[in-house]
Amino acid sequence: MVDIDVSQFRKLYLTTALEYAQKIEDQLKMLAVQQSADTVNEIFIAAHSLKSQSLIMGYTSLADASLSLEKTYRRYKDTATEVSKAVLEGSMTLLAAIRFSLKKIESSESEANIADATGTFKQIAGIN
Amino acid sequence: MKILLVEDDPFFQKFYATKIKEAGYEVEIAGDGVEALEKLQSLRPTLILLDMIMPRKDGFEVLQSLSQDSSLKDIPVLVFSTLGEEKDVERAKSLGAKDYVNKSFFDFDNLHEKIKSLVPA
Repeated sequence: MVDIDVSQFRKLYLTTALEYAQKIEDQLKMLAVQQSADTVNEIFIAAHSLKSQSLIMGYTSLADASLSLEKTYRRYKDTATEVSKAVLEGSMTLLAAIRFSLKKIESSESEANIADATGTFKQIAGIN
Repeated sequence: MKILLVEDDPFFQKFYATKIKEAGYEVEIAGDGVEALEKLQSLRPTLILLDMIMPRKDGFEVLQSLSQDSSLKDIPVLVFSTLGEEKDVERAKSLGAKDYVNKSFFDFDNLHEKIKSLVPA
């Protein structure tokens, strides 16, 4: 956890985090139609960025969720395998939880605990 | 002292640029590896702070390019790492990075010490 005043960056965090969430959603929809290494890479980078930002802001539940996505899509990127339908659907569900948490930050400045959603996704994706 | 911050994420661009400037350094930002190498054609920073995961050219490719350019290879590079990327740090060091800083657990004293250790006063 960072022991600095990050409140001045909260608005920027929310703007960019929501953009990353949207980007991930758009890319997931593309993957559902056609598998593509570039699309997998885009998801990986967006999830990585969302994780890093969330960590520095102290939003650890969000960071953990994003890390799960990052690890999953990094694995797909590195092994050049197709993303399964189950993982795609699981990713969308996790993304909905991420969006819910971001909305909570907008209204209350604190994140939602989305550990359950992350745990479910990890099981589907086969990661720890 | 001028630092080239190579970082694609607008949040981290602002965050690190703000913190680095507060400490009295000059900062130039490049939004990805391609832009970084373009800027380095005319810019000679004292140090490069390099993100590893970026679109277009990533940090590893930048390190490779730097090591192959005699006019750039001696500029010290600090790479950013985050959770689960220890292997990336090792790979970055094998490509010429001098050290790393943990991007998501901001510790400016640590960053400052590393900068001072790499750049003679």
